[in-house]
Amino acid sequence: MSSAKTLKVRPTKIELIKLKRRRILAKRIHRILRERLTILVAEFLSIARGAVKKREELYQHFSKAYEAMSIAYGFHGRVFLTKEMLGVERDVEVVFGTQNIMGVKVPLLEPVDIERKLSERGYVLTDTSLYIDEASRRFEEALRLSIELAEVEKTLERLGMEIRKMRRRVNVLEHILIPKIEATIKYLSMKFEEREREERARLKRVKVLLARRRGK
Amino acid sequence: MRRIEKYNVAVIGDENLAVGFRLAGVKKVYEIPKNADERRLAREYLKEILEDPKIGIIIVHEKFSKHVEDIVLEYKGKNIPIVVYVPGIEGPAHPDVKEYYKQYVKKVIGFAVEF
Repeated sequence: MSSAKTLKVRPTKIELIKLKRRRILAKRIHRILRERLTILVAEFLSIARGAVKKREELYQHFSKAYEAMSIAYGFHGRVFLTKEMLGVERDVEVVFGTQNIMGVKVPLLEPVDIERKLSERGYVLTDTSLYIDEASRRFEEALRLSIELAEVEKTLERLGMEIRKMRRRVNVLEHILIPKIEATIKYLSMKFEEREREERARLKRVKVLLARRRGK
Repeated sequence: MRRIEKYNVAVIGDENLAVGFRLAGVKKVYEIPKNADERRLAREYLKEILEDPKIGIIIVHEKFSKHVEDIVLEYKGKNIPIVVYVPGIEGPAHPDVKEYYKQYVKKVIGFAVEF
């Protein structure tokens, strides 16, 4: 953006009319963008509040999960647990969708079968204890919460980016483009007024001269 | 248009986190051993995961976040994959959750907000 205070236009009346139209348009766009920004910020804040709650919940769950796992460690020993886990693995699937918040595409996640039944876990139930069951259950929950938090945090990030972009646009309109248009309009109308005044003065002068000549 | 696709989850963690998520049934668990070169391994694993188009969520131990931040930043504008940091057995790295988000909110909207 050039630093000149006015736009470069030809000093004609048609340009002045065009500029006035542009001013109306710019102001209208500015108002719409500002309203959108306000809504985005409100949305952003409510999601940020949700994120705080989710993360707190996640922290609590993880400490419980680690606790349960420590007990399982103590009961079975690390080697046994590691061996047992080989049978437990599977692909955790998450269904990704998109949601639209004020024109911003944000992810919508839906975990599939995170919490499993005992029989679905895949390890030998007779060989293992309820401590492993408990640890598994707790970590399944932690996993679900992690996925939920992932969704919330990504949403927050996307909205944050959009807000920054919006703010930049609103600022450009408010502090650069609209003042520039207005300054140009002012400059042009002053110039036209001046021209008119000059014209009138010239006519008067001519009139006087003509009258004097006729009087002779 | 609603696009619905399925993606998998991957985990990068220390021994405890890895065991935990294996118990939860995650297959793609990348374990970084205790005395290993954390930075090199974390980056290597993350790059490997990012090359896999089937993975949509990457769960990373909080203590590795400082090693991989720059890579994660490249994916900021995209919806996939999502990287989420979770606490280790030693407890959360940012116990004050409100403060953690407040910083971010302040950066985005320009002023601090009480939650």
